[in-house]
Amino acid sequence: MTQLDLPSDALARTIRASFWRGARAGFPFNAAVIPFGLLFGVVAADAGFDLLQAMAMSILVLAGASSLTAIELLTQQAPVFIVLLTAAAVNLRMAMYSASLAPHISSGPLWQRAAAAYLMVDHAYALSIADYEVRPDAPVRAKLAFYLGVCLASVPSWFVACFIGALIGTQMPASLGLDYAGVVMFVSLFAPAVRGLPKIAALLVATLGSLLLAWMPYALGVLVAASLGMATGALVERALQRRAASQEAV
Amino acid sequence: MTISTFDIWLTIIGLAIATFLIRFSFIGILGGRQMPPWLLTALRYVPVTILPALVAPAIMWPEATGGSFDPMRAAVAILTFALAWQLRNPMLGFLGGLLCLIIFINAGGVLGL
Repeated sequence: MTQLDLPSDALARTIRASFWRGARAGFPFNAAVIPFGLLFGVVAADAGFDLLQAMAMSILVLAGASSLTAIELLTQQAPVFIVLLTAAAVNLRMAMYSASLAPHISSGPLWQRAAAAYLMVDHAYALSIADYEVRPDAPVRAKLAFYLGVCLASVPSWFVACFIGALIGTQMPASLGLDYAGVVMFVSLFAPAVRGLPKIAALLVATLGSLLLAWMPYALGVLVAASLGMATGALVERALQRRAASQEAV
Repeated sequence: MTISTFDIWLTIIGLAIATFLIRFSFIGILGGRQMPPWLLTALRYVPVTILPALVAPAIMWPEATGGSFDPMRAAVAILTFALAWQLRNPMLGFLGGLLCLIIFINAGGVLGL
């Protein structure tokens, strides 16, 4: 045993404590996961997915926003290639999550990292990275335990909710406004991130671009507008940095 | 029009693989290796561009009204944005937005709008 290693029972206790702390932090997110899962199930059934297909997508992809995107584009008869490109683009933010988690967990056991990758949902990332910043020196196994605790407390309900949604399917009453619940979900997902001039500029260009390019086939306008928005954000950010640097120099 | 079974399965499997690879990229394959700065910068703008670009047409031209602008649905989107932004909390924004949506839709029906 090296000096840095905790005694094994103390380590086991730390890991267990981290797991339960994660589970407690993750549990309230069921309040968002369940309605979103129901929504996904209903939308999939409406689009003509049978129960097996809806559940395969729910379990294998485990990413609601991009799954809804894929279904929406499929119903517009877009070619599968475009469907995959756009739906995967919705998940690109997770490459950023992965990069930001890597320094904390990439020395952990492979199966746990694979599980963490499979389970990488927005709130698991957000809660975990916040915890790692408070406890940067926690053992890798404890950090992974926190993450998996968040997921085990809030992801199984996703499968159940998708299943129920797919069963209810088209019988869902219109008065619940489910046609628009997906929009509400997307808006609430990105809204808190819109802070500072570069992000506002990126948002405006992406939004206006998407409306102006709505004539493009297979929702290609979405990808083009998002790319223009990203470029705008990066350029504004750099311009602001330059200005700050030149003011410092004076 | 119905979607072909083949297209559905191709989408499910393709998206499952692509999504796992994106998620596994740094914690699994690349380790703690540094990304080029321009890529890191671009990725930070993914959430505030791809999602708004996706919903903007659905807000302006909702499917449920046959593609004509609906002030009620636009108001729900704006309220949801304001709520989630102010509270800095996606979950509360979503639940609040859903509540607005249900109230607005049912009030609209009652008032005959």
